[in-house]
Parts: sequence; structure tokens; C-alpha cells
Amino acid sequence: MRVSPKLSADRVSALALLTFSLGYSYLAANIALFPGGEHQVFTARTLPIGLSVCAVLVSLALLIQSFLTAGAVSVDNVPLRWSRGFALCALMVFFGMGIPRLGFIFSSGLFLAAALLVMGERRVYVVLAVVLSITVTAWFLLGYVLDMYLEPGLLGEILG
Amino acid sequence: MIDGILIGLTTALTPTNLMMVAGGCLVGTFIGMLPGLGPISAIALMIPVTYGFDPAAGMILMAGVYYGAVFGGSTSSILINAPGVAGTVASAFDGYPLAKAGHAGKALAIAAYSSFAGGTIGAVLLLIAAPVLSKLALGFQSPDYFALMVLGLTAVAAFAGEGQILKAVMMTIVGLMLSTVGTDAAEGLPRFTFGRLDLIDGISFLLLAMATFALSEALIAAMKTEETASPSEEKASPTIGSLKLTSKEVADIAPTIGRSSLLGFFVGVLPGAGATIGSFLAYGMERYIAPAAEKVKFGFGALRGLAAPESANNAACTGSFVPLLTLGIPGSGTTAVMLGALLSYNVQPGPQLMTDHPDVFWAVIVSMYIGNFVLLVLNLPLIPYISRILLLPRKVLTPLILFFSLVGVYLVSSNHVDIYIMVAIMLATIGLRIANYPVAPIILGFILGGMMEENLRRSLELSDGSYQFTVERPLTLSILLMAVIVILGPLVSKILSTRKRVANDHQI
Repeated sequence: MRVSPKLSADRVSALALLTFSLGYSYLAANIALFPGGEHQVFTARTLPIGLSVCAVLVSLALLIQSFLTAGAVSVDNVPLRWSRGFALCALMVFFGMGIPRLGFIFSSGLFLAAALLVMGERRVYVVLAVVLSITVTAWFLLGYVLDMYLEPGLLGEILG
Repeated sequence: MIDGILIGLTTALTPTNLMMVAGGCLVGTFIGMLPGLGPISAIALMIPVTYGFDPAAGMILMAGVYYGAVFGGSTSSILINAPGVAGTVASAFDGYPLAKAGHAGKALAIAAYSSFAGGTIGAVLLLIAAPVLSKLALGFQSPDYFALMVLGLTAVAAFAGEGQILKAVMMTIVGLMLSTVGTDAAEGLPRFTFGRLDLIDGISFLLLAMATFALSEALIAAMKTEETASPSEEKASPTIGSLKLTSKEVADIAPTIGRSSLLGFFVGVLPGAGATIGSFLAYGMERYIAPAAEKVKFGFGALRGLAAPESANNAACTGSFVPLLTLGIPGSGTTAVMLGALLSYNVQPGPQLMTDHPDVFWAVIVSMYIGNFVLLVLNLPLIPYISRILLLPRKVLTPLILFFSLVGVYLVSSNHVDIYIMVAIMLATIGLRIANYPVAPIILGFILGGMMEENLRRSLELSDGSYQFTVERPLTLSILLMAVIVILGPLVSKILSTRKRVANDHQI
């Protein structure tokens, strides 16, 4: 019998949630308490342990349910262009990594330009217009009008 | 009271103060639209500006900024599914589908009308019942708050589609679990931090909301291929639609606005409850009482689903001024900032405010109403221009949504690790959405988790570890019974309707 993609998505997600719940339970049981804290009525562990029990039970129920029902087709369960998604995720991570090195403004410009290219925008003047307008506005509005700290990064420090 | 209202009107209706409230509404709207900058930040930014003003003018400006920021937050929720503040999360559930379907104009107009109505009803109730309500609010104890949080969690039923109740419950638990990350509020012990300082303050609401709503939505839209994306999606929304509501639509949402405003106001009066719980409860209540044909529309662009949280959150904002003005207790983060502003003017809010500074007391109340009116007059004409953001092509709009969501979170903490956490949560959310899990309950659980733990702790400590506290107070018991009815009601009615159908079949 061929397993439908929806069915396997249900099973995989239920298994992932069960794993997450078990991991959470393990960490909850190991939350450090003050000496004698375990005799208190309510500790830092009380709610997490209660939630762990609920989470494990509900995720088990979901797993059993995934074997019993075929489920409805998800509205989001459509062919997706994963390469584009991963490229954008990678850009977001590089944006985060770039801030302490290249500074906020320069990283922002690079992120926007690269994201526009990944999304298929090939017109140079559009890319330049978006990047320049957003970064200059952000620099002026955040840095000067709202007086917020904008990370200069190593590059900013080198350039003075 | 009539004298007081006249004092308030005389103070608030001077040309300078009218300019203050109008300017405040405009500035607040634009600040509120930026992810990460909600009413608290907007008001905090205004404090240095208002130092030289007299107290009434300063408070009037801040009231304008407050309402503007709340409306601005709703705008970003509705247009790009990016709720910058907790109070506007519920507005995205039906507001964003409406905007996606090409009715952004109508969605924003409903938000404006509902906010106006909610604020107006709230202001009237504030005028009439402020002193009485503040005494009632003080009667609420930890067990009652705990019961209220449980009732808030039952709103999860509103997000569960057919056969999805287990998934919605699981997502609520995940939200509650995420709320326990960070330092334990009572004992100061780290939980689930893996020894990292980046997690010591826990996961911020903004980070979670942006990752689960704005980022995941934008990324899914970016990943859709030309075959799977509809032509309208490829070009973003081709139209923003009309702002006009038909008389049938007005008749449909009017009772919703009335009910939600009352509910929102009373929840807002309770210190700590505020606009978020008010908006979720109103959304849940409306879905619960809606006829079967209307119920299925919730989550897909139901007008009632947008009107309910919008009127409730505005009424709750007004309600949160009751404990501030009458008792000097700030009921929310925003009113705490306002308390600071009042103290900087040497005005002490509390029972004596009405006698010591009647001009300030009444001017604030009257200016709230004027702020609502000005917001409607100023923002309705702006809607076609604000909505134009949706006319940007998707290949330009998506990078901008990603950028503003990331930057909104980064600028609050100045910690680039938050960006990695956002990406991780976004990927998990996309996985859950593909498996057809509703993600809104994560936010509901997360928002209520901290407050629920705090009140459960106090209740258990007061009752020496016994769960008897749930039945000892009539108020606690009543609220918990309401929660049971909300959860079991649909199940019972389903069983009854099945029995009726079977009986009818037998008769035939």
C-alpha cells in the first residue's frame, strides 16, 4: 500500500513532537533547584513537568491518530520550491552572522540585495533603488531620529 | 460627573491639544506599523518630547500615540501577517486572509470602525463605572486569575478546524513549553537555557510572533512555484478592494462589536490581563456562538473574526486605564509607562487624582474618545495609501517582509543570536504548517504561560499545595465552569445533533 504524503507528514510531525516532548521532559526533570527546594509546594520544575506529561500524552495520541486516519489534505501541502526557501534561510543566517562583522547597515544592504536576486529580481536599478532607499532610511530613522544603537561591526570600527 | 466632563472637554478641545492628539495618532500609527515598536515603545519615545508640556497636554499626546500605535499594529497584522504586539495577533487570523483575497481596504476599514466602536464603548464605560470597577478588579485573587488564564486557553477551540482539536491542544502545550524557557520568575533559576546567556531572558513574544507568522508566511509564499502560486499571489494582491461595507455586513458585525467591546473592557480592567487576553477571548467567543455556516469561515476571512478582536483590544486598552487612574495601579506595560510619565509631571494617579488634578483626570478620559475619533477621521483616508504596500510585486515584497521582521526583533535585543533562533522556529513552523497544524495556539499558550504559572504558584502556595482553591471561591469556580462549557459545549452539541439525525433517519 502506498503511503500518502499527508499521512507520512502527520506521522513524521507526531514523531518529531514526541521526540521534542521527551527531550523537554528530560530537561524539565533536571532543572536545578535550590537545596531543599524539592520540598516546596511549587518549584521551577512543577509546571514544566506537568507540561511534559501532557505533551507526551498528546503527541502519543497524535501518533496513534496518524495511523488510524488518512487526514485531510493540508492547504499548505503543495509543491514548494525548497531550493529558494533554503537559500533565503541561509541568507537570514548570514545576515545574523554579518552584523557583528560587517555592521548593521552594510549587512542589511547585502541581505536585501541577495534576497531580491534569490527572488528573481534581475533589474539592477530596482535592486539598487530598494537597497539604497531602505538602508539609508533605516540608518537615518533608527540611528538619528530614534537614536538607537546600530552595530558598527568590525568593518565599521576599522573604517572609523 | 457632568462638571468633570465639561472640564475635560474644555481642556481637550483647545486647538493646541487637538493638534497634540492628531499628531499623536499619526506618529503612533507609523511607529505601530514597524515590527518591534508597539504602543509601549511609542509612548516611551514620547516622554522626552512631552517634558516641557503641561500634564494634560502631555497625556493627551500620549493617548493619541497609544491609539495610533494600536491601530498601526493592526495594520501590519492585517496587511503582511506581522503582528508586532500581542494585542493584535488575533486580528491577523481573519484580517490577513481578507487582505490576501484582495479585500485589504475592507479589512482595514473594519479594523478602524471596530477600534473606534470599541474605544467609544470603553470610554463611556470608563466615564460611568471607573470607581466601581476598580473596586471589583481588586477583588480578583490569584485563583481567579488562574481560572481566567485557563478560560483564555480554551479559546484554542476557536483555532481548531474539523478533526484538528488534538493538534490545536498540542500546539497550545508547545506554546506553554516555550514560555518556560529562561529564568524562572519566582526563584531566579535558569530553565532550558543550555547554559547560554542568550536564552537567560527567555524567548521574546515578538521573536515568536514574527517567526511563526510573518517569516513562515513570507517564506512559504516565496517557495510556491509559478504553478502553485495563483496569479494574484505572484503579483501580491492585485487590488486592495473597496473600503465600503454593505448594510448586511454592518448588521452582521454590529452585535459582534458590542459584545466584544464589553468583554474587552472588563478584561482590560483586570490588572495584568489586558488587550491580548481580551482579543483572544472575544475571537473565541464569537466563533463559539456563531452559526455553523459562519463558524467555518473563521480563519479564512470572516468579518466577525476581525471585528471581534479589534473592538475588544481597543476597549481593553481603555479598560486598562481604570486601575491606573482610580487606584494608581498600572494594569499593563503601556499604562506602566504612562504612570511614569504622570509621576514625572508630579501628578500622582490614584483615588485623589480626581480631586487633586481634575483637569488631568477628565482630560485624559475625554481625549481618549477624541483620540478614537481623530484616528478614524485621519486613518480612513490613509487606508488606500497604506494598503498600497500589497501592490508591490512578491519578489520585492517578500525580501522586505523578511528584512523588517528580522530587524524588528534584532533591534529590540541587539542580539544577533535572536536571528538564528527565529530561523529555527520559522523552519519548525513551516514543518508544522505542512502537516496541517494550526500555529496560532502556540502564541496563545506562550502569552498566557507566564501569567498562568505565576498565578498557579501563588494559588498553590496560599492553599498549602492543595488544588481545593479551584472550588473554594465562587468566582474561580464560575470561571472554570465557563471554561469547561466552552471545551465540552461543541462536543455535546455534536453528539446531540448526531442523535437527532439518527432519530430522524429511523423515523423516515
